[in-house]
Amino acid sequence: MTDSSAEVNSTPQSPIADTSYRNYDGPLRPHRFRWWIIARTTAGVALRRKGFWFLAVMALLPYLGSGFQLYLRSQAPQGIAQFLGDRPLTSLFYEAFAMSQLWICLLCLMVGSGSIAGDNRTNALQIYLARPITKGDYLGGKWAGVFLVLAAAAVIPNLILYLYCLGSLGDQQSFKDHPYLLVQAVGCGLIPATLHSSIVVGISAWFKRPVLVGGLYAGLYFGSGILSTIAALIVRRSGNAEHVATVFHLGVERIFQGLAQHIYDVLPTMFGARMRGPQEKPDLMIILALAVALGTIGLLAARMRVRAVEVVKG
Amino acid sequence: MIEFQGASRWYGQVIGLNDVTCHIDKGVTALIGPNGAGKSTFIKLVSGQLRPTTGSVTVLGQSPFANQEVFRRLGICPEVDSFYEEMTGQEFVTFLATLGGLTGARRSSRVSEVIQFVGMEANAGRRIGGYSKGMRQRIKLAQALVHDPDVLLLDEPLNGLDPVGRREVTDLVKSLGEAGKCVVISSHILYEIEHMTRRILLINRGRLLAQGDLYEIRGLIDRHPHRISLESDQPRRLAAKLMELDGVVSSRLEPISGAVEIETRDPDGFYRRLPEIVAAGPFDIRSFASPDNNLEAVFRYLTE
Repeated sequence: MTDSSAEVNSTPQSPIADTSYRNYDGPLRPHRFRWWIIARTTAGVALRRKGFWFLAVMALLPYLGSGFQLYLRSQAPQGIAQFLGDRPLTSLFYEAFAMSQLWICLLCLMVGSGSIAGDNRTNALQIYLARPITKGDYLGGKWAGVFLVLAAAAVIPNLILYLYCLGSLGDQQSFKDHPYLLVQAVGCGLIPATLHSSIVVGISAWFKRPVLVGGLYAGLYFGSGILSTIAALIVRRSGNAEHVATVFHLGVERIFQGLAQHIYDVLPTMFGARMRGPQEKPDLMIILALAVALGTIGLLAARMRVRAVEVVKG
Repeated sequence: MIEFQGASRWYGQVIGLNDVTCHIDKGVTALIGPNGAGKSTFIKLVSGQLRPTTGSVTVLGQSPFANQEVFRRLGICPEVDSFYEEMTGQEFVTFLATLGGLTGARRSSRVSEVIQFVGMEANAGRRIGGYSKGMRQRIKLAQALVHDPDVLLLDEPLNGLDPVGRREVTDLVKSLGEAGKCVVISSHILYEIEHMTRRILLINRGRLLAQGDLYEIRGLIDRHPHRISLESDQPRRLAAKLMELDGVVSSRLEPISGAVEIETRDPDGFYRRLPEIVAAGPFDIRSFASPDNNLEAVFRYLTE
């Protein structure tokens, strides 16, 4: 037996494992981007839901449809190709964008409704805010978690369609006519993700029941669309035709569409045909200001409300 | 480690905690009181989630309110446990370890260590949504311990546990106190609390009614003489003999068990004299017990 083995064998070892509490003597270094830890977790939890993948695929389908239209146009006999028309690519992108909005909204309801409301309900904020993080880290993380999921669901289909265009039409004039198509497509994907996240996180902070948050936001989203349609009809009848398009786009969903019309520089169409409603773009400054205002109000509402404890007012 | 100096907390016109002054050191301290007594307010003040309206609260020498230095050394295990159903226990503890500042391989080994300590190694890979109440309590305890805090706040950690689970968590809490942690445990299961510690803080209607050693506090409650129950072969003669002792104020015979129950204002003197009485005979004393020298009795006497 060597000396070293004798040394090892001489170490007294109990056959019973020591399961008593052990102190941690390693480093405790606060993460530089603590909000990112929360964002990653929020997004990770959302990605595990089967509903997320269903809605994400549904949001992708309109883009696949637009790609299929392009494929048919390039492959079909002359007569059918003429029937399909020679619309600009931006118009195809816009149509897919408009059709995917319902699914993005449903995704937002699924992912965002419980983002803070779930923590309020279970008082999990007590755990979060007893860690070395600030309220800003928490809110930023929650917002970023919802945003990342929505942005992925909105931007990735745009990228897929763009890559298809690049592969199949890259050397054609119709593609070269839109040098900023990639930027436009990504921008259009990010706008609803940003605004949805800000509003839904703001509402979520004020409630304890995710279902209530979802109902309220769905009401705001669809209700504002109905109200803006009625308001546009009233404005049209009163003879202010130049304001009809702007008033029509004052609903939450229409804000996205109005901004997308400006980004792609198109008028609303569906399968190439003009849609009912105003045949001009809304006032960019007004709907941009409205979008910024809604997003800011949402974030401020969340900031005002989030606290680790419930304060009872007498 | 924890110091309250005339601390009060108002919620609008409702008072949560009223002029509390106390000091909590290392070891296990039980925070007891009926529902709405102010226990949660006490815990939120210690965990820095509320600021006292008047007075001061210090934890490890600093004000804990929104103080990240204190948060690094504080672990909290709240009462509610229905969160993050989609995450596994391991992921949940890892997530909170990351927020607590642990990184890399040390984080992984520490997470495994605390999961093993709370006895959850077999179930750590399962979704929290599928956990039993007891498993949830354990995983909550693991997240509170993962960054090795000096001060640990446990809010009703025995709720929903089966008897074996209660015994195990009781042992865990005791071992944390023995390891030098300052553990404040809020619970309404007084019998279990008594197994963890004798040091109590009793709160009722926002006021601190008593603090210190349970038996010392019991000894100070004069208006309720100590009850002592004795079983004997000749209970009537024993009762008559015991009535001769100083401090004994009453005696009665239990109709069913036949035991003698006396009330005395001097329990120490009574216990000193008891061997003499037994030795003098002519009766045997088979057993004796003190049914109100416990936490439940102290709690009842101080809050009634």
